[in-house]
Amino acid sequence: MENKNDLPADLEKEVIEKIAVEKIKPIARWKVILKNWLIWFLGGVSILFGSLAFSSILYFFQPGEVEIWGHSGANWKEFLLFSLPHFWLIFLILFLLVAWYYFRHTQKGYRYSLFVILAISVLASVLLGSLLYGAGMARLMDDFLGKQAPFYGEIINPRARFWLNPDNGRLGGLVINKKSDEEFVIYNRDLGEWQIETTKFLGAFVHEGYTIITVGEKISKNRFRAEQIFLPPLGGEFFRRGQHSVPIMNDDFMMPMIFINK
Amino acid sequence: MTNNNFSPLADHNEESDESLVRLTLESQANFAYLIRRYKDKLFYYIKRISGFPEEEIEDILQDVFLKVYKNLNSFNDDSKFSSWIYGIAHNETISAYRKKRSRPQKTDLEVDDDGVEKISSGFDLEKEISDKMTGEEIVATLQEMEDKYREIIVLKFFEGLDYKEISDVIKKPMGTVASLMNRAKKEFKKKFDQNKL
Repeated sequence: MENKNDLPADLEKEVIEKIAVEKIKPIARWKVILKNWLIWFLGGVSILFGSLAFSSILYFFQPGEVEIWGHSGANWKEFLLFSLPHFWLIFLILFLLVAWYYFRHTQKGYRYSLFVILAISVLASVLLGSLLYGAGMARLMDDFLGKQAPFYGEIINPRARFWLNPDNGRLGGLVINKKSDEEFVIYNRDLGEWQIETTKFLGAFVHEGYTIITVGEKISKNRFRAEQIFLPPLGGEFFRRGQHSVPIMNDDFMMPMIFINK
Repeated sequence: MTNNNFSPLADHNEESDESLVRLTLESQANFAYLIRRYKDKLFYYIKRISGFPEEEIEDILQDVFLKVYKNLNSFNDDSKFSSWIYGIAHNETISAYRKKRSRPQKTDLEVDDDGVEKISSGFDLEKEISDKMTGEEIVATLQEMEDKYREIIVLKFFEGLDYKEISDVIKKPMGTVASLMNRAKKEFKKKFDQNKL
């Protein structure tokens, strides 16, 4: 099925001559290898970020957090708005797409469909994310972000902001002064100091340096009666903002600890 | 026109493409063998998929070979050299469309008796249709098809590439190539029937 057109004559001469005149050289092999490695590296880094996001999602759904949320009295709208790790889900999806972009641009990446590349990326993120979660990476990251990240309570962990609402019976903060088992003071940077009243039974478990969240009732300005007290796994450092000189007392072995006054 | 680097070489006409790539990296003059081997094939390929006039095709072809030369170190034996160079020609043709911001309405296709046979058997056409099919009718039908379908038909039936090679040329997974080919066949049959009525 060939046409009978005139072929381009002396094309090879013209091309070879142009190569010589313009001093065109093949791109060096090391540059090609470096570029390929860079693409793989960036794809790998994207998977790593996706894995960090997945480990944070697991952190959101650890047993202690789920149980606390069950006692929060939140309605389904608040559950959707505050409880779910929207930020980390978006972060995960974003980096899965970035990983797909880089793997698609590897030398043979075009041979695999979007579905195959995404499925492998998701699987890698889930496996690596689970390992990172098991190694305590999610907590380290939450502590790091909780300590200094802007919009932590609004975007990264909206659950933290959810607990800063004494008018609706929810209050969180750092225990800075324990007067007795029935009375102590908590502090958070947004709402300042609050006197907490509670029962002897509940208060006995609370110590200075704990970051706690409470469910109860606002009695008067900066006074709150705690009917339930929790040690939240998430957002510990956020509640301690402005009071970092107070050593943190919540330890892994204590969590999740839930105190309920029925 | 200086001819310093285009001196007579040892005869490398029998060398494989991959060997010629290695030889070119040792001496650029050997690139002439690769150009000579592929210039006609690529010229007709670009002509078939683009419909550009010959002068423009020669310009595109020159760009293709310059790009091939610059990227010789990127070629590896995971795919055939022919698929790789067709892929570069494919991309350069698309770049040329973009530069011109338009595509010619008609591409330059010719189908002889052998081509009619290939297409009718490849498209599983019924015997009464394929018996009456002429090269002109096939060309007229192909001209009406979307570019992506026409190109895949050109690669398969005019250039004689298999699905893996087509996948390497258009940089799409083999499954996508197969599904494009199925849709191309359906569209061809539909348009062919419409033209017959």
